[in-house]
Amino acid sequence: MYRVELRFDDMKDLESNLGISSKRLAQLFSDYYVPTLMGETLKQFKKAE
Amino acid sequence: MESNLPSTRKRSRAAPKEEVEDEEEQILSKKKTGVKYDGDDNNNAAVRMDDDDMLSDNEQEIKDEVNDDVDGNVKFAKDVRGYDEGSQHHESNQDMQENEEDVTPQPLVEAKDDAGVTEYTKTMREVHSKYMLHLRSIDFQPSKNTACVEIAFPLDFKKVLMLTLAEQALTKVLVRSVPNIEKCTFIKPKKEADEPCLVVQGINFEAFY
Repeated sequence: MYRVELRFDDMKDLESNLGISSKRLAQLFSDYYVPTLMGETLKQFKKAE
Repeated sequence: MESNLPSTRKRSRAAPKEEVEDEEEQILSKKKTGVKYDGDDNNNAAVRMDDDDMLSDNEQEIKDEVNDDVDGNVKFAKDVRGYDEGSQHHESNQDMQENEEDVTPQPLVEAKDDAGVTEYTKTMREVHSKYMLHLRSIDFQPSKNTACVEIAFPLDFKKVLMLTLAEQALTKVLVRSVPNIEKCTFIKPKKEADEPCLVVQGINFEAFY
C-alpha cells in the first residue's frame, strides 16, 4: 500500500491571489494527477518486470 | 378410476341418439317453464353446472377429485384475490411513501464538505476505471491543505520508489499554463513598499503585455 500525500502551502492564497479554488484543485488532483500517477506507476512496474 | 366419473357422461356415450334427443327436449321445455331440471341420477346433480355456470363447493370438490384421477397430477388453481380496499390502500400508501422518498430533495452535501470536493474524491469514477483494481482511496482536505491518494498493489509486484513517480506526475499536471513559459517563480518583496516579482523560464511577450 502506497500513500501519496501532497501538501499545499496555503490553499486560501491560491484562491485569493490567483482565483484557483479548492474545488478546482480537487478536480485537478482527482482527474489528472491520480491517473497520471497511476499510469507512471504501472509503467514502472512493467519496466521492473 | 372410471367409477368416479359422472354417470351422465357414461350414459350419453352409450345411449342411442333418440334417447339423447328426448332428454334435450325435456331440458329445453323445463327451462322454458322456469323449472330446474333434475335428472334421474342424484349424483349427477353434484357435477352438473348450474344456470349461472357457477360451481358449488360440493361440485368443485368432486371436479377436483376427477381431475386428480384422470390426469394423475394435482392441479392447483391460482390464488386470485379480488380488490381488497384495505390492502390496496396500504399498497398505494407504500407507493406514495416510496415516491415521496424519491422526490424529497437530499440535503446539500456541498455545504458540509469543503466546497463540494467530495464529488471528486470518489474512486468509482470513469476517469479511474482503468485503475480500479489498485486505487484504494482519494482524500482532499482544503482545511488541512492536503490531497492524499492511497494505492495498493499485490505483494508479488516489485517495489518502486514512489517519491520520484509522484514528483514526475506533478510536473505533468498543470493548474494553469501560459504557452512558451516553462517555469514561473514568485518572489516575495523583502520590504512592504517593494513590488513582488515573477521570475519566468521562457519568453512570451504577448502574454506579458
